[in-house]
Amino acid sequence: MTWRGTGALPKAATPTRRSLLERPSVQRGVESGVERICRECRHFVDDPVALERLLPGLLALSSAQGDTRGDQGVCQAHDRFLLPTMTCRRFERR
Amino acid sequence: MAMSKQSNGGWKLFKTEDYWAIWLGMLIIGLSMVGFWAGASIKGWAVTPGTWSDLGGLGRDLGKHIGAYVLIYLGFGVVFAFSMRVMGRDVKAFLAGYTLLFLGSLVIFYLAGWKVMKRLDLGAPLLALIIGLIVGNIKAVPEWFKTSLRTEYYIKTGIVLLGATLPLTLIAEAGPVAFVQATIVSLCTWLTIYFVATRLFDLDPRFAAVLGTGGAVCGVSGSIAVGGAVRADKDHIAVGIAVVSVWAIVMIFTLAFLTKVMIPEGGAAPVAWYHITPGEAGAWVGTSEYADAAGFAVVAELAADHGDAPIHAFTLMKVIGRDIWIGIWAFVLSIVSVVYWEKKGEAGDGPAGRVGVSVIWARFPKFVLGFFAASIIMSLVAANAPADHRGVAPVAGTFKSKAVKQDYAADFSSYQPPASLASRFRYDAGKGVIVFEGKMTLEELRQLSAGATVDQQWALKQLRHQSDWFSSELKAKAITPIKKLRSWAFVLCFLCIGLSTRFKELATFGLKPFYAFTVGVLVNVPLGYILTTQVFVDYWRAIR
Repeated sequence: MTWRGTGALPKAATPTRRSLLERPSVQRGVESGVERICRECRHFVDDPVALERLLPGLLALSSAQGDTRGDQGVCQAHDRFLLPTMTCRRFERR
Repeated sequence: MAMSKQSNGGWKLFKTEDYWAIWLGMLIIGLSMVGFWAGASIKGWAVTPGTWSDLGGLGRDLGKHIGAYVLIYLGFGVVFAFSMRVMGRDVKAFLAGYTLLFLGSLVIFYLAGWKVMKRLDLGAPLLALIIGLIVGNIKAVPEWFKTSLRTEYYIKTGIVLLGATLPLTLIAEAGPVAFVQATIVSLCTWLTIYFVATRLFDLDPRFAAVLGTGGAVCGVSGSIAVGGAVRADKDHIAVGIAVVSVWAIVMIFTLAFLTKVMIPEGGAAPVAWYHITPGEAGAWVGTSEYADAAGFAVVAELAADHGDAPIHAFTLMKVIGRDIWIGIWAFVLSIVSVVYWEKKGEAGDGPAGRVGVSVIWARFPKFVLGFFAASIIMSLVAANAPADHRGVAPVAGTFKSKAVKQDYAADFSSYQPPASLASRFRYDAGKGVIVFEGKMTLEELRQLSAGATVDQQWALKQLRHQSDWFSSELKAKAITPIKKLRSWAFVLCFLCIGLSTRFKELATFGLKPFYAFTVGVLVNVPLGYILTTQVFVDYWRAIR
């Protein structure tokens, strides 16, 4: 079950929020057989070794190799920590 | 092999430290049980260094156990190295670092066993942490060495092994209380940090959520788990890691000091107003420490003097009460993030996408399943004690318990058991042993001891212990060796925490997030204390 893209938006959603919620249906898609999502984007860093270098101190009490990090990574285009299923207009295939 | 290429199918079972901790833990438990059922035991090589007061004693203990240490080094090393290879790490670098870590852990175990350290009341967990912090902050460890600094992997392995020592009945009885207490504290702490961060210091709400989850749920791992779900800035994550880590280290020493002072000498019943039991101490640490590894450093330190009660209470509170709900926090906060927190300016090209309920399972710390499986396996074995078990004890020997160690040499040639127990008790003069059919109760021991000499009474106490199949067989031959191996995993972990915590690297945050988190600490610690020692005190005092 995903609550987004089902047509039933939360009442609290303002027009701006609505545009965020609806955006995936516009941006998501397939480009040359590759889905336009972070996992396939060259800006997305999800390699555990690279992540442990990008986030100093992560090793002390956690790890990039555990399930709580899972397959999340850092988008170097937006400098955001994201799920690999996110998408945006700056997608560039790896 | 890149992680991103392993995201499907069976690879998932081999791509994270959580699953590997389960496989390694189950392998050790399996070996222990197979040995036990075959009439043998792994206790000969599953050892930790003993206590010593002079170099001669140290040399004797080292000479006696050196073969066992090599086996433990190889056993852990092979599985760790293989798993690191599968997870795409540099195995040569890992093995070099692991070798140094293992030797360091051995030195720390021996240091902790030195009578001087015993007088200073410093156990292996705190020693590992202190030495690691000193070494790691004098000079940064080289990059290749960092491959072996797997704090989470080692602690998760230890927690899976811990499951084998925690009865399922205890989890069933105290688990709901732990959940209620943890939920109260988690919600209060999260809301405090969130509102202080956003209303008082005007921080980004997603940043506040990352900080709040770090303080309320499971430390750095909590911050990371919700970080992707709320699409936090990379810097939010970095600062969250730093603030949580600094406070976690501070709380290790604070809580260790406080609980050592507050638990009465020898684990006696609380008398003074500030006294708490070892079980209460564990529950309080479980409520008020931010990371699993940091909390275990405190309760493992307490366990050296007070048995496993602090570890059991901590595990119930932290792992069952707090950790396993991280996926739900991530899911709820992902919804809140999109509906309320996303910046208007990002509507054009900011990242967006679906966050489904699958995130609950994705962020679930899978090693907890290994912990439950280990507890279920050992509880089932313990529940099926052989009906025909008989206790056999020598008439001359040493009676050992937590509180007493007593040599005895009894003569049973003219001893007469009470008539009601005569059919179950016998003396085998040829073998020099006394035998009791079935499990001896305390009342039966009292009847057998009436009129017995002092030495006979010690021999009968020994016989009672031997008549308990769980204590004399399963615990002694299978569970205690698992606990020893658990100790190795823990000390490796605590040394890693020290070596990988560089205060210079962490001191990159501004004061606002630090102050916001600190207010959360000021709420969390006293609230955890009150809930543990006043509201739910009966449950935590009953933990053994």
